[in-house]
Amino acid sequence: MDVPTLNLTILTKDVFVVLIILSATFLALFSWLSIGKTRLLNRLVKTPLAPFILIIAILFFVLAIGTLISTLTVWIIPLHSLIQT
Amino acid sequence: MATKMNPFSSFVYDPVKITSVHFETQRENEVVRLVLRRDTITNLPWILTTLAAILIPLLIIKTLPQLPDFISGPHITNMFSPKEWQLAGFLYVITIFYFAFVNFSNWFYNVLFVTNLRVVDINYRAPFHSQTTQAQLKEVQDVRYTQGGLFGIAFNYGNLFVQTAGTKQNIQLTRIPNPNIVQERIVQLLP
Repeated sequence: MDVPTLNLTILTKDVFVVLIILSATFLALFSWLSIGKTRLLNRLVKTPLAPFILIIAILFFVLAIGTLISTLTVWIIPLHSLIQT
Repeated sequence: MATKMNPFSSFVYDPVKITSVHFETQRENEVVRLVLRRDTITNLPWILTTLAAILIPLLIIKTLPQLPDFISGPHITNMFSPKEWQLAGFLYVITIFYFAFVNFSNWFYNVLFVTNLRVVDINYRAPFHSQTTQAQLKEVQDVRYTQGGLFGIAFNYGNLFVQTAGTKQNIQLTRIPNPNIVQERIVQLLP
């Protein structure tokens, strides 16, 4: 019986993929919470810069969600189809 | 036409410029006399960190072909497809800019307002913690500052403590510009 060998390249890639997916998820979550926090702080401190900072926070959220969806499309969906076959 | 305050200022006391500054709980008869933030120079560490985080990967990519094979070999570059590398790079760039955004917010929303009635400290600790402390000017018992350290002396910033009567929470603001002038101005406002 063949003893399975540990392929370090594949293992490293898998670790990277998991880290990237986790980072994308955390970034999406944090950027969503940042929108609420920025709105609250803009109410506390009234400044002409408030709308710009809020737009930046929303932009981060959009980019983070876009990245999360792309990450899932690139890595999770092929994995799912691989399991099904 | 009234001159507007530079929104990035960390020390504003000009009575003309200060009219454009407001906060949520401000009352009708309340006039802001002093606006304080952490000294602008204290943003330098996170700005440098952000720049380094942007520049170091670019340098690594540029010098990658010259590195030994066990570091830059095909097992590393072929680990991901070009599309996957692009996605990982994009995620890295967003993370850096988010880091910069959080640090900027941490500086921008930590404000101390001194009005003709009270001292209001809006304290924001990134990413999600915020606290507002206020003390009536008549409750202020002592205003003191400490200044020290190489950078504190070189750039003239220090910590300000506003001690209030009884069990009320004291107000503390760290690394504010011109702490001696700030102390003097707050003491002048005390009844």
